[in-house]
Amino acid sequence: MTDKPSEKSNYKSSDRTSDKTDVQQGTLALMILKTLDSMGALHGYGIARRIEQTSGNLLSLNYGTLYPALLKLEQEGYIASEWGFSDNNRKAKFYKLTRAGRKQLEREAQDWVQTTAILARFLSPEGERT
Amino acid sequence: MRALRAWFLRFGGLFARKRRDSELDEELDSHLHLHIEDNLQRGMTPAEARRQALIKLGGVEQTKERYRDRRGIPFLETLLQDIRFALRMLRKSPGFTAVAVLTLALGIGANTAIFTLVDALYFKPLPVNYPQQLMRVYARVPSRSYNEGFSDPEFKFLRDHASSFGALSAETQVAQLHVVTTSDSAELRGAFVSANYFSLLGVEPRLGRAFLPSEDVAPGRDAVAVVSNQFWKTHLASNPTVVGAEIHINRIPFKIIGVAPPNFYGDIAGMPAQVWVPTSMLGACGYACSDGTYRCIVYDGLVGRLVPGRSPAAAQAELRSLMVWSATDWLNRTPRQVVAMPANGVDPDQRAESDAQMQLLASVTASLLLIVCANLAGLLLSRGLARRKEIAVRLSLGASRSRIVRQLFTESLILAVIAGILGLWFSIWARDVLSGFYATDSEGFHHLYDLSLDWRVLAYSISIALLAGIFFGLLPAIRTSRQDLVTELKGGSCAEHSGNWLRHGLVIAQVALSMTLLVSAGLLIRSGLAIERGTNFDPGHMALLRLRPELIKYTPPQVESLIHRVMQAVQMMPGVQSAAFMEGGEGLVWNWQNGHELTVSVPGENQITPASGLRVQDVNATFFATLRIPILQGRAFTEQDNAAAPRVAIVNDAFAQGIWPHASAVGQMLLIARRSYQVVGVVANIQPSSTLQAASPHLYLSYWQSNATQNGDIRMAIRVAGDPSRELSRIRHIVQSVDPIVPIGEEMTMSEQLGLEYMPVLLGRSVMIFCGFLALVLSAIGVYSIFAFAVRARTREIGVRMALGAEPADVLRMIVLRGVEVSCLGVVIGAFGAVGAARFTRSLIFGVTANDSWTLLAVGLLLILVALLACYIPARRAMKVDPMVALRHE
Repeated sequence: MTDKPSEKSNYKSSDRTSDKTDVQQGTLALMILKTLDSMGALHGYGIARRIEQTSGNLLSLNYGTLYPALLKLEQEGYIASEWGFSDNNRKAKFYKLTRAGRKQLEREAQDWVQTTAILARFLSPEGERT
Repeated sequence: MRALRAWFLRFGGLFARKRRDSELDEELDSHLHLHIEDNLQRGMTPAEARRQALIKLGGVEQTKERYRDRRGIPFLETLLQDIRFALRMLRKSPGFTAVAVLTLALGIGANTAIFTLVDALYFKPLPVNYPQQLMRVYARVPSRSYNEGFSDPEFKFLRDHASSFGALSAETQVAQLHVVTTSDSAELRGAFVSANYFSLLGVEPRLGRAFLPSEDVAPGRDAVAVVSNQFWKTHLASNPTVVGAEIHINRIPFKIIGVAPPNFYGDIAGMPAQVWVPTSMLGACGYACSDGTYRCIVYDGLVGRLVPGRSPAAAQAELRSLMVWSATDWLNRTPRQVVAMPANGVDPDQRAESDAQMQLLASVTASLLLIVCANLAGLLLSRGLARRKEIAVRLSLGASRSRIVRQLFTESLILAVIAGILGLWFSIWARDVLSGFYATDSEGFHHLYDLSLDWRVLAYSISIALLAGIFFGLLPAIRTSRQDLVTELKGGSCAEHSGNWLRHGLVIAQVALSMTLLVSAGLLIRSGLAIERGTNFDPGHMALLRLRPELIKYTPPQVESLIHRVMQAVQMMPGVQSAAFMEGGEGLVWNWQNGHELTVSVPGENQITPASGLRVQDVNATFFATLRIPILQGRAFTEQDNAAAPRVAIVNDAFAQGIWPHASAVGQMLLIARRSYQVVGVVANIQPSSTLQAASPHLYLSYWQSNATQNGDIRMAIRVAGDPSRELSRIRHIVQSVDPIVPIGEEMTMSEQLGLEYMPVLLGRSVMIFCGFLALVLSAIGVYSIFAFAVRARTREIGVRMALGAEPADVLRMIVLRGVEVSCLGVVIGAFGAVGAARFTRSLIFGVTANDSWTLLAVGLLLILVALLACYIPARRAMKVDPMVALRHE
């Protein structure tokens, strides 16, 4: 009966910390996959922290957006989840990469490398001359 | 693949939501705790640690909401929610739901049942290989709408030269073959076909083989037959070793070479063949010259398989440009034109009639569905007004209008879908009733239409259900969602007038359409009665049968002796009042031999025979008395009007009026086939003519003065004291005791024959009565519902009126007058509609004029009376309004 709240909350945080960039559409999934690849099984909070650390705290990640992304990856079969216990013995849901997820990571990483390389050529001043 | 898997899981996410929700709660809870612990380690106060963790998460509820959107399918979830809500609303008003679902289901069921017929008559593919490649080819006379046929050289020319067809087979269906097996005999429909017929269709016999090419080259040589599966079961006891056995067809011994597979009955819908014989046997069986040539053979039509890639239109164009018509003994009179059409559906000679029939039935049931929809739209509008407080509350709580429309519309679609399912079930039941009208043709041969459900019927019923749902649901949904919130929530009641014109308009439309349907139904009821009663003859207590000694090659003296002996024996039977006979032709009373075969003229004047329309029949002395046809002038034939006596003729009233308008017909002379006849009597016109055609002129000749014995085809009409259907078997017994081998067919009562002959009228009548009755009930519901609603909505106003001194009778009058107004308007509009609709029903109307004012008047009064009753009930409730209660109510 009531309308859904709109998606505003996604971008609120950027007002506060204007020196940080928002996560770009579509890149979060790749970051999650890469994080799980390098760290092994990890819970949601751990993934979020790790992504922030890896980005050198340049990235402003709204932790709430992580969970739908994790669900999507799980539905697509790239990751699997399991309940377990954290280091300080707290019950948490752990995610780990599946074989399909590893392949997907390779594919997407390659795509990104290619995309960024192309973009870099466009954007760098000497790119036009060669 | 991944996306599909994800969608599948999301679909699964629609279920077990509680468990999934609690799991998410737990996960977020653990997330927060981990974060808080981290923050505490960094030295934050517990309150600050919690606050920061929550800020970083971006709100627990928002996260959950986004998570849920991803988990399930939001659109589907809203839909499921709407459906659940709609079902709850429908359950809350079971009366409305029952009326809506039931009427809609009846409407959908009627439409689906008619479509089942249309499907069987036009769309069902033949049960053969690649049926879409099959074409039927006819030679038609353009000016007249009937099929003339091909001669043998014409067929062979096309077969050898047409490049459009991979194979072409000739076919002639014969309705009455006399087939004798070792155990019994039967009159049945068979087909003479070319040797390649079965291989062309791709039909393999279940036993034995099909024809060899060599079996269709020498006239009269190869007496071989393939029998149908049904014939094999009923007449050959399903004998597995039947191949090679002998049966007699029209007294010629044939060898059975094969049994057709089950469900194969030839290539013409509705006309199942039981026996197939090579065309070379046409002459030997008595359907062409018996001189051992193909000279006077006429093929009804051809069946061909298109070469791949060739369109039907191109095939027809090729045949037309190719065709060289050659004269034959029978076919040298009229120019013909090749017509090629896809081979499914009914035979083209019947197509015009069934087109008209189906158009009529489909428009009748469509009108019924329209009335149902109008009725439901009206009910929903009233319901919407009754629910306006609820909707106002929802709008003010922030629901968007489109959301409300969607929700209300879902309710209508759910009604439509439930009704669609129920309607499909009704249609199966209705189909069994309808198929009764298509069981046999007017000569008593079995029709066979495949009326089974197929995807076309299913798709049709689903689409009309959804269409109806949109039709009756959308307008009320939009209307209901448009509200003035402030007035509504303040409890203002001016809204009861909103949409008044719309609801009244819907009821007027319903009454008008009902009027149209009921008038047509009334006319068809009267036509049916006129047909069953008979005009100027008495069809009650008549038993009919047809003797065909020609099929067993009786000579004229043998025929004559047979007739005398049979008549004597039948007249001696107890219970038989009188018996008559006449020369065969098609049908006892209606489809006479066409008079255009004879030249008839009045001496000294030009030939008077109309090209068609004159009917000639050879009848015996007791014919008029047995059928109880009144003799207007002169006398009937007597036993003395035999070959030795002067030739005499009897004409009907239409003939006499047409030729001798100013003089008595009795005593006049006629030249018939260059012989002179004296008119000795004038009888009444017996054909119950439709209002379209004037009674046609009939000419009766004495049986013994014609050469009818040559034809050896005799129809008998026997008037009995008791139930004629019970006498039929006794009569057969008597005839067989006189002559055990003479073929007996078309045994039925005259009422049965009339029913079959006028099947379109009787079928139309049944459908019309059903639809008309339902329309009447719906109109009553429609009128009742708007007045019941009006009374409820105007309780306060009525209370004020009564407090100011209005009498209950005034209140009653106020409401009833409004009802009369609405129904009268509907009736008047409907009367115009009925006059317009008569255009379509005219060919089915007998014995009354299509604009019969009595029917109009009676139906109009009936509708107004029903409308009065329907608004009297709410009006009485209005009379009982207590002013004090009504005013305190606010």
